[in-house]
Amino acid sequence: MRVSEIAISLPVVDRGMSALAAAQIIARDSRASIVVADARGKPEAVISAVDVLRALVPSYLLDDVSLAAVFDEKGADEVWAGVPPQTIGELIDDEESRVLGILEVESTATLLDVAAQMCQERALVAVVKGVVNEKSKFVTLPAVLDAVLHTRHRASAPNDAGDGDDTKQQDART
Amino acid sequence: MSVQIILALIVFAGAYVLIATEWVPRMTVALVGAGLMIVIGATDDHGVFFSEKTGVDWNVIFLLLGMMIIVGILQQSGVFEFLAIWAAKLAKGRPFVIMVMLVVITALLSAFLDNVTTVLLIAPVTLLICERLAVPVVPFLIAEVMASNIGGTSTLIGDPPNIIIASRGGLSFNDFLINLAPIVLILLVVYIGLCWLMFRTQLRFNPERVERVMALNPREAIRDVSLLIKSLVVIGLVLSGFILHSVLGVGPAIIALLGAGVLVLITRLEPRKIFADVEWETLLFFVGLFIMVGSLVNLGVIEYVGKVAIEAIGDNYFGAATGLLFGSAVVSGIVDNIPYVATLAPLTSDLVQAGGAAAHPLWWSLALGADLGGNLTAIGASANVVVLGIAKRAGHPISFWTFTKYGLIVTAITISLCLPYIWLRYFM
Repeated sequence: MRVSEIAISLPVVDRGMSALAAAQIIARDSRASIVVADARGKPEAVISAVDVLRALVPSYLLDDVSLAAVFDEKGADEVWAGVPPQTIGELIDDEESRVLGILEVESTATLLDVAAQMCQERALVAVVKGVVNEKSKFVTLPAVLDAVLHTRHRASAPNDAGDGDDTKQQDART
Repeated sequence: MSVQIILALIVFAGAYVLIATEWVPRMTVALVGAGLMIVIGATDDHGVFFSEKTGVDWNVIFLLLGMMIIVGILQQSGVFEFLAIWAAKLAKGRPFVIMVMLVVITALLSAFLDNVTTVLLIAPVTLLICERLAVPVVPFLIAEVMASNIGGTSTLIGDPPNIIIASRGGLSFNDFLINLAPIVLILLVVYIGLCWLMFRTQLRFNPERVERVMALNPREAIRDVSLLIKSLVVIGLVLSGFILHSVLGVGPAIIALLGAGVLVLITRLEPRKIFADVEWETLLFFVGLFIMVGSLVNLGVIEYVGKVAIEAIGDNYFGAATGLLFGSAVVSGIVDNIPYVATLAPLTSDLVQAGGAAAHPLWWSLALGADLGGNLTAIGASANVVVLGIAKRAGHPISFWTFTKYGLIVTAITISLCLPYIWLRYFM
């Protein structure tokens, strides 16, 4: 199987978007990550839902997680309003965040190749090299897992074609 | 002057410039500089690994390693957060009283932990308290980091330069306590007065916010009571070992390593947590520095400078102590005090050997100047840089000049107060 067979389109956000707006997209679509593009529209990073959540939690609680337990319920609810707003760009540039550059794969790469690269880079999403802007195609981790399961199933039961249909539905969500 | 000496001086000066400007990570600079010293023949493998005078000071490396492991485990217990919140509640939300309590806690912790660890522990809880009280956090953070630099001066393990001085000068934990703790105590009292003068107008008491501090539950910060008890017992034993080390006949580095070993054994934490706070980069930075300075010792450069200094000083050791105190404060305020003290320590050792007991106070001048000088500018100490980073991330940036304007006042006053102390105590 080739990467091009499982590549899909994904929404791409820009660096100027607020972390709050990114959080709304993630929450609305139950995504695990979103793709961020640079000024030219080229995908430059994948920001995970956890990193977006980091932008909404006060930095002192990220530095010292045990402090989160000292609040009562009322105090804990008040804390959210006091967090200064951050953009996705600031989040990417923050040395403390673990935002990674996006993994690029060739459209002709095999499933095995892209799976190995995604494991090595711990990537949630890879961009397929070629078109730049909103037409960019991506390979998502759920899609790769789905394809891997399907291929394994076919390899172990070559005469039992069709049984893998239930694994064919790729989750377009990242 | 031979070509080898000229090359060694160029390598040393170049490394110093790169460390001071931070164009390249300091560990990289120190290790490359050390490598170049070996390449030009300024030292060799025996000189690097086995010579007490020209090699890596393993006492310093392993004392730092042992303490990093112990403190790394202790800080996972949440005891420091407990103390800070407890103090804020005790102060009933009055900002200046809270500031005084946090300053005292920070100074006390700094005496036993390294300054960067101390501010990493105290800054987050300070942000929390200030957010609850709706008071500006910048005065608190500046007050704490300066208290950390002051408190760290008082003991052998409080600041890395002191560890180098202790090792090169053959000084014990008790020597530091007896000679430096009294003046640090005085400086702390004066410093609290300075905090009042510098920050009082920014600290407005808001009775409506007090309830938000009183609602905090410090007990919840203690994550692991068993870990806390074990850590405190081991720290107590290690500190007792430091105090009794001349009786026990065991050096501070071995005591720290034994303490770390016992703590690892009884807490059974996974290696990732045990070594989480070991700053390998700092340890390798020290290794590189020791090799570079050892190369200069090996080539006779330090001895030559020492002879020139001895001739210039004559028997005016109070003058030398004064020069060392103020000179060290200025230099340490601009460049990292670790390479400065690593360079000055062998030189001071030569001066003390030549002058005997009369020259011994030079060690204390060096320690006071180098440690307290860290308050001079925003880049004068690693702890300052760390706090500036924490403040920026929290949305309360502290500019270089905001910090430095307070630093100039605090350093000028604290260093000036050290001079009469040195005179009265050692030269009267």
